[in-house]
Amino acid sequence: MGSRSKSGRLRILLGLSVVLITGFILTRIQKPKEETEGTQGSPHLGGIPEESKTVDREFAVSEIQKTPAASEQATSDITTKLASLRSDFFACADLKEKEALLTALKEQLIGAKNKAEVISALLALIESGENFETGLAFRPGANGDLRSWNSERLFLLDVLSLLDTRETLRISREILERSGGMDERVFALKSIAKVQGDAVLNDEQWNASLLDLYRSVDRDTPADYALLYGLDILAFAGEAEHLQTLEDIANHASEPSYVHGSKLATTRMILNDPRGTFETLLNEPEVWSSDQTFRSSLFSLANPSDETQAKQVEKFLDGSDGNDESVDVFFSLFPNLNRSVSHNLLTQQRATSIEDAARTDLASLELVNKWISEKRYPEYESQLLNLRSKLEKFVASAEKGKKQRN
Amino acid sequence: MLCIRESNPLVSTFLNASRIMKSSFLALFALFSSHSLWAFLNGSVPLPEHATGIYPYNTVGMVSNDSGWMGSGCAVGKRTVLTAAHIFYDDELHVWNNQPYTWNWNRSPANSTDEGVAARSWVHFEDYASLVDAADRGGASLEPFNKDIYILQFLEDITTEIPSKWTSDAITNLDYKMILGYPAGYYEFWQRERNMMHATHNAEPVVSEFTSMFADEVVKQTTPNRRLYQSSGLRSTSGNSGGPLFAFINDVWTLVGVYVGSNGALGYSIFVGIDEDVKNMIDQALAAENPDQTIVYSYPVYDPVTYDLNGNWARAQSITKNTTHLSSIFPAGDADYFSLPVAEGNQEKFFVMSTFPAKVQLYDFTYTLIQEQTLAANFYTEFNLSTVNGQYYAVITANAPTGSIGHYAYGIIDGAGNATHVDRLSSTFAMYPMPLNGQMSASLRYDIPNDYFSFDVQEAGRLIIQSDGPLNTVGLLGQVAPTATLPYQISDFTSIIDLDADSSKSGDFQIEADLQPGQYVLLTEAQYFQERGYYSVSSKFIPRDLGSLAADTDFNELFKNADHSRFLSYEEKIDEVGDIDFRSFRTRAPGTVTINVTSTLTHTFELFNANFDQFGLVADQDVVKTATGYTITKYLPEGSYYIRISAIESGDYTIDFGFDLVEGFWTGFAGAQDGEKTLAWFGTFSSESTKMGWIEHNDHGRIYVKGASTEDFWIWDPAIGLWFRTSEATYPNLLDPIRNIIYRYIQGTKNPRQFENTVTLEIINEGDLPK
Repeated sequence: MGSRSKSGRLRILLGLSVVLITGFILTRIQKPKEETEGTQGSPHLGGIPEESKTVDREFAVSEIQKTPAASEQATSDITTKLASLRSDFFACADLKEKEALLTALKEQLIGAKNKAEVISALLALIESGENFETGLAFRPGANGDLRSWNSERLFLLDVLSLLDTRETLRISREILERSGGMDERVFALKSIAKVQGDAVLNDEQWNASLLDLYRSVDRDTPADYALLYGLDILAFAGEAEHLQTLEDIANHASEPSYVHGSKLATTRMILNDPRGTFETLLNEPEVWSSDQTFRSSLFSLANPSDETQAKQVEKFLDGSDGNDESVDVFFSLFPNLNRSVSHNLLTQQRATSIEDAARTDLASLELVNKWISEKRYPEYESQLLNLRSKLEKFVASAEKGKKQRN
Repeated sequence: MLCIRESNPLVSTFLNASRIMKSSFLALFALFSSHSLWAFLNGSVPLPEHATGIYPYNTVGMVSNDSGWMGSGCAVGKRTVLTAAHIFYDDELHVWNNQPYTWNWNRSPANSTDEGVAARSWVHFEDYASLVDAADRGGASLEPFNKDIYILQFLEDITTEIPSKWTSDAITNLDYKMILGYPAGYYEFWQRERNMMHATHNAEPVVSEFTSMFADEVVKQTTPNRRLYQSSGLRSTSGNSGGPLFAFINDVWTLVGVYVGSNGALGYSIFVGIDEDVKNMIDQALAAENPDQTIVYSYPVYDPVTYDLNGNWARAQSITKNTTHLSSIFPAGDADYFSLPVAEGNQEKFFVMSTFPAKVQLYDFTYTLIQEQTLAANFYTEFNLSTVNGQYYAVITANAPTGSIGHYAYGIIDGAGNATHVDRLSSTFAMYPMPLNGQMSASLRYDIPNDYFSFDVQEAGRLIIQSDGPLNTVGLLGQVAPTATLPYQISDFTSIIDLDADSSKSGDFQIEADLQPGQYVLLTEAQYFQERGYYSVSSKFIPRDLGSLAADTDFNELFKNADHSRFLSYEEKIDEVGDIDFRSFRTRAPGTVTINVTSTLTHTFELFNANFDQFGLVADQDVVKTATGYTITKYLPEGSYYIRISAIESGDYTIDFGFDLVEGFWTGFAGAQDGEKTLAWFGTFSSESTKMGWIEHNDHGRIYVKGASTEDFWIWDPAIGLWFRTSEATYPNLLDPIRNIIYRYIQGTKNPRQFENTVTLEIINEGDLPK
């Protein structure tokens, strides 16, 4: 892709004029008046004619709002002010303020009526290849789109993904094809998965790109935010190779953030697809064999009210070594309903409902009672008795709660 | 004090992240330790026990586990508690604790067991970058603190009341705010406050975005703070962690954030505000407990006339006489109403003492305004109530703009007395206006080691101040520069008049000082926090304005030669015009004192009650000019008095004190008061009014009689050296109350008198009576 001159870029941005500038300016005028006035005289406004510095921004906004089709004069003003606002962004040392600027702009763009113009302008900017670092971190927000953007292009891609699915898919595939920056590759993988859903697991390019991305991670350098949040894509994918990839990352990373991220992704992989992931763990005992304690804790997430998972738990215990203290962790947590939540690119975690919790506890108690009566795990007798005692309290508590509701 | 021990180690996917997260928390809490212990509670005050049953206090509880207390929390659902994440981290195992956590709702000294409802599970923030957020910046990113939120889920109801109302994105609004929680970490296990809910208030609780725990130039944080806030107006302490920050929004106490820590050194508390993310988390948990949204809560609209901030009744339904009640005005436009009945025959006073400027209005039973006072901050005022009306009403309103509101004390005391009893009004350093003759009780606390009492001395006189502790209390009386602000330092005192450092360690101190008119300040300080507590300060003031005493007149000298127990007759002299003589005397029973002054001079007399708690001029003194001088006759209760004598010219005079025997003793006796008398049951004796209770009895000799009537009186027999109790009905039986022996005086015996022990029937000569 070719690169355009600065003035050319600014002309392209005129297509976004009303929405973009309104967004920026509205953001600015929400500040206290004295701060706005202080900024007017600051060096950050370099390039603005001296007489322009006295322009009342509120007046300027009202002028823009009255003129949907910007006149040449208005365009000139908008260009000038856009330049000053971009300068403001670059000069702004306050990260939160930067984030707020972009957040407001995103809202304005998404809410704009002239979406076609906005999309056109976004595409032009994205395809220009120009980019700048924002100083912010790559962070997902609600619904898998971003709330913090580490680059201008990522910001534009994020907005585009909410406005035009087809173009997003097209550009995402381009990014994967040319093996762009890691942040963009993560975003492209997420965007494609978001559109295609589970069908993406049959997408060879997507799978290959995903595994390639994480197998090539330099696990000894400081962690990259995009790569860390991208681990959620592996959790979403959930296949054996993805599970193995997560363990590989954890095993070979000297950077502890990757260890943490990989374990969290493994947990969320189970919550996303418990049967499939347990099956993988059972069929491939070497997976996470490097950390048996963690491996045992994963099975505590099983829900025995699902017969398949109940059997998977039994299979896990059948295959365990009675002298392995790591299994104690399973008994201390099972059935584990604790949940961590966060904004993720693809998966979502939810608190367990009381009804589900009661159902899980009751099924767990029945299962544990069966094990005890059948003397199925004599090597774990004391653990099972403790577990039964805990479950009996939970069941009693749920029963009491049920009566309270009735 | 975050001593958490978890027997079931949770080895979760979050282990490493948790460690770093915790390290960040520890970085925060490390700042605590650098600060003085005194500031720890930071205005958190225990709530009255009954308040815990009132919304929103009844939504707050203590979260604990088998190892004991951990922190505080707030029920945002019938089965959902919102609290802070960091209190669930195991310091030793570096893992998030697993259950069981116990929710102790309505915990109080009377309900202080650790048995509660066990939590089923928890929900908290954790994402893929949690570790890098902390580690990449040396554990200094704000992101871990942004995530310091924890939700406990329960399978059964954890409260019988409605849960707390909550809202998002309201923490920085300028609503009145308070922190609730259990700062158990401050207290020892045996202290009842450990199990008491505390509230932390501030008149101007501005909560702003948290900005500066770490210097930006040192730590280039890449994570903007999102939900962390701070307030220097609302400060709290450990154990309150996880407790709710409530804001008063549209007349409903509404949860807007969670207290997660304090930076004592910098003087602010830190909160996680409820933003969209936290809201979603709570919504999820509430949906989990109430999936059909069938339960809709109706939150009580705060009625400022009904409750004050501490959950006390703002409308005083009853006022216990001679008890100080505490209340508060909120909001500023609020009015508190008091019904003040006065019993038949009583003379009473309604007093109000406030730290904030207020208007106090007194209405009679027809709701007619009788008195109105607009008073500046830190006032004490009294209103006289009498049975003329029988029923009064008082209205107290804050006479200040929003924010300048706070606590006040009120009560009813005897109109005849002049003692005042006032508890500490606030949890901050405050100046208490002190009556010149009166009493206050106060309390010195670990975080408030000083009290200040102001004395407005409007005439020259001697001020005597006594205190009964607590241990090792120092009292300092002096004058303070007008520009000084509380808490005063020693350097703020422009003069130190007297200092008593309680050398006896009893906690008592006494300060006496001759003062000229002016404003004086008494500073009390408990030197060791372990020994702080309640104490009282009493004051009496001896005015000198009735004459023209020289400024250097020494009151002690004036009292020095007083004889308190004998017949008094003195020859005195007014040495020069302006000279003033004092004579003190003490009566041992109620009766009439007669003072005869033989003089040719033109005198002025003032009779003073010298009893400590009744100091002042005796009302309605009857001074009669006679041919030889003056006679003063006055019925006086038992006690100490002094008379002040001056004259417009110099010269000699004689003063004689006489004392009439007890009222009622002579009932039925026909005869002159002075001279020999005979009573059928008591025999013959002689008395003189000038002898103040001493009589010459034909059988017993010289004895002292004390008692209000013949139905019950005492005899002091100096020859035997015993007190006897007897009456007209029982005499000649005499009770030795010390040994509880009743003797029968064998009438007619003399030199020696003989007594019969009415139990052993032993006859005993007077010299052999056991003593």
